[in-house]
Amino acid sequence: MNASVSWLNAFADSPRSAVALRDLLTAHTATVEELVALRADLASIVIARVVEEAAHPDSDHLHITKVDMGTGELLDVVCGAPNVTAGKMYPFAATGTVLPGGMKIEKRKIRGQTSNGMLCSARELGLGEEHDGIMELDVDVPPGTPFLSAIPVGDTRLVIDVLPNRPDLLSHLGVAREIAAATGGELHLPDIGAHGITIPDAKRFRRAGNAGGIVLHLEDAKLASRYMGVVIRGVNVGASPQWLVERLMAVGARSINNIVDATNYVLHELGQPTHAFDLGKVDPEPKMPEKTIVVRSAKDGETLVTLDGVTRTLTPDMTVIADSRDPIALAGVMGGRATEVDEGTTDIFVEVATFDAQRTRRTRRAAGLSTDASYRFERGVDVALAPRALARVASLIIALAGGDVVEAPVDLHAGDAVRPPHCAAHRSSGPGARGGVGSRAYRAAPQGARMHGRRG
Amino acid sequence: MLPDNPTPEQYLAYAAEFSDRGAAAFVAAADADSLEAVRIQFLGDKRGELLALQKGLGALAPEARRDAGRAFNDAKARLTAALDERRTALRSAATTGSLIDLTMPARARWRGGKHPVTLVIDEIVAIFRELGFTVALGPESESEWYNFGALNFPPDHPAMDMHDTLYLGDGAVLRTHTSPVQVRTLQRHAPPIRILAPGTVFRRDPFDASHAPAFAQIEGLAVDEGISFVDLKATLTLFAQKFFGTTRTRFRPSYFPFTEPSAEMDVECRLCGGTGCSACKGTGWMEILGSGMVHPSVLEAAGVDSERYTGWAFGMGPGRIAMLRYGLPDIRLLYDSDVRFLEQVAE
Repeated sequence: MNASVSWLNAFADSPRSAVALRDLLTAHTATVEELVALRADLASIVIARVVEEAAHPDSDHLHITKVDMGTGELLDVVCGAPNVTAGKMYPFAATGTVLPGGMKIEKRKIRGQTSNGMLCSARELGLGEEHDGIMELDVDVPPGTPFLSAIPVGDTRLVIDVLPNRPDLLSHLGVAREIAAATGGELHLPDIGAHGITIPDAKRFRRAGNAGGIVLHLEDAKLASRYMGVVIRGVNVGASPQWLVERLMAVGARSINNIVDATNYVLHELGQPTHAFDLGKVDPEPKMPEKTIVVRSAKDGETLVTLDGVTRTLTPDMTVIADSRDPIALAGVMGGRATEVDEGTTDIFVEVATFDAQRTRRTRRAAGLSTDASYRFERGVDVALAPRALARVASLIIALAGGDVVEAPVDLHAGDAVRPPHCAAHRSSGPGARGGVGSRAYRAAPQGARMHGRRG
Repeated sequence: MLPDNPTPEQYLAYAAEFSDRGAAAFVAAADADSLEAVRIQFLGDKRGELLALQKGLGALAPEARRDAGRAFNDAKARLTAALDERRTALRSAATTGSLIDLTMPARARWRGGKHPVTLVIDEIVAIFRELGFTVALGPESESEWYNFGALNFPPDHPAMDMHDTLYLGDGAVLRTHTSPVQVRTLQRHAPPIRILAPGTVFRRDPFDASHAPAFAQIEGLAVDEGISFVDLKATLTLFAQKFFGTTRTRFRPSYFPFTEPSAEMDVECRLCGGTGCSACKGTGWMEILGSGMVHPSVLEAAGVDSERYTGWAFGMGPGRIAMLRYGLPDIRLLYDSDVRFLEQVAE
């Protein structure tokens, strides 16, 4: 499990350092095997002060500056940014520095004036799209301070060895909950800019229900203890904002587009895999008056082209999501290429399901395809998490891409499955009373004090 | 004998007889001592027979001395040569025999010793023996039930991914751990039980610097009334102190299907003393064993009343500990049977 220190800190009242989190989690929860410094490519960028600034004699937009980077001498630097101002601090790449894009800064003459380095914009540092001017830094540090030590962009990834008994740790929420429990701190979900967006409560059915123009069927409760879905119409597919791209990069995922990124964000935040289908491509030739999505066992010999472009021959061991004719996704493992969200997508169907762990494991093994989703389903996803994840992913999609939930989401499940698991703990003295202090045994037992615990 | 005043004929005859007799005597000398006696008899400086022959020359008429002198010289040269030849022959025979000094101590040849992994196992067993543990063994080819089912591995569960198993068919596997010995012992003996089970275990792992497809493991189990995690922690900490010398230890939460709760024990890094180095990946700690309270399902599977009895168990890899102890960078050193390496660490 990859966790971002900055993301974990967003759940807490006060931030903790990567080393503090490593020691705390290793002692209380699960072993942190590695700390990976992200943005190590910015390690040689320093913070420098522009001491003097004057117009370039042979240019109408260039400036000649004298830059203090803490070496005791002032460097001549030519700068083209309109916002360069004497007395302010900026990120500075001295001669010899390699920028994140691979460009090496060298001493050179620009229209007759020597330049010993470059004052950087956010885009040049890979910190955003901002390129109208150089990055003005409002920090109180001496010139020469490494950029990463003063500006909180250098996130650290914790590589946590999560063992099979702790599927609850396969999300930032789960890890943050451990940190809050161990430190006595508060735990709150990070702000994702979705204030004021409300998602209607889901309508509950056992086997079939209509979610805004699409009929959902769950063929057998053994396939999924819960299957929820919501239709969002009128989305604008586009690039994700920088904060979201950084969150995904920090855990080792790639940004695709705002819809797919929203589903991946919720997977890593809450531990609930979700999937967005392009509704326009689902059931293009329906057999019924309305489009249909059915959760069923695959038929022997059926094929499906998954998102990775591989054509997969299915067996009845596998669970699929299908429209009225063909499979459109390998349940709990990977979506299908035919219903992929792309730039032309306007209406989407978002699936939030609790697929059966053992069946997902068999599906994954038969297909030879392990994904972030299958990894979590195999280990067990909390069945009570689905409604919460559905509201989260739907509001994030609407915040990022617009669109509306036209009709209440559908929630298919056999009622028993959502009852919290029953826990019993038994604490007794050792019957032999051979020890003194510390001879009490803690063990699970069917009698004794009972506690009803809730996962999630 | 040469007469006092020999005639030339007598002299020549005697010289010939002397020459033949002397040559035969030299050839017959069996060793250096008898050769010396023969030399003194014939060629001796004071009373040698050659001297008498030389004196006999003076008694001959001058005209006879030419032939007699030649005969004398021939005899002298013949016997001198015979002496040299015999001496050389005796010396070369003697050298061949006496090159071996039978009193010199034999050069020590390495005749083998205990493998470092065996040494570690012996030492672990010795420490736990003092605490009342005895050794129990089990088969290397196990049934899936003993290897997994009885140890609370759910079928089709991700916990199975922790063991890359070699299946033998017909429900048999090469055991992936020594833990089946826990179940076999509990079935055969009523608690209280305190056992150690060393043995070889098998995984479908590539043979690389940190993995071997067959490696040593040692299991420990204590089942009795009133056993708690305190017993586990105290016993294993005591073990670490005895084995590694005074050292800090820590327990980390872990997971094994057959124990609950489970913990891994680390000792302070042997190389950096806890400050962090490349060997301990900067953590200052080195993992040495996994442990936990025996899961009630395991006790029940073996027919032990889990309401009455509790237990703790541990498992560790003597190969891994040998690597720590001898500072080995590659586990294959332990299993390659390279005598140049083993000579340095076996005892």
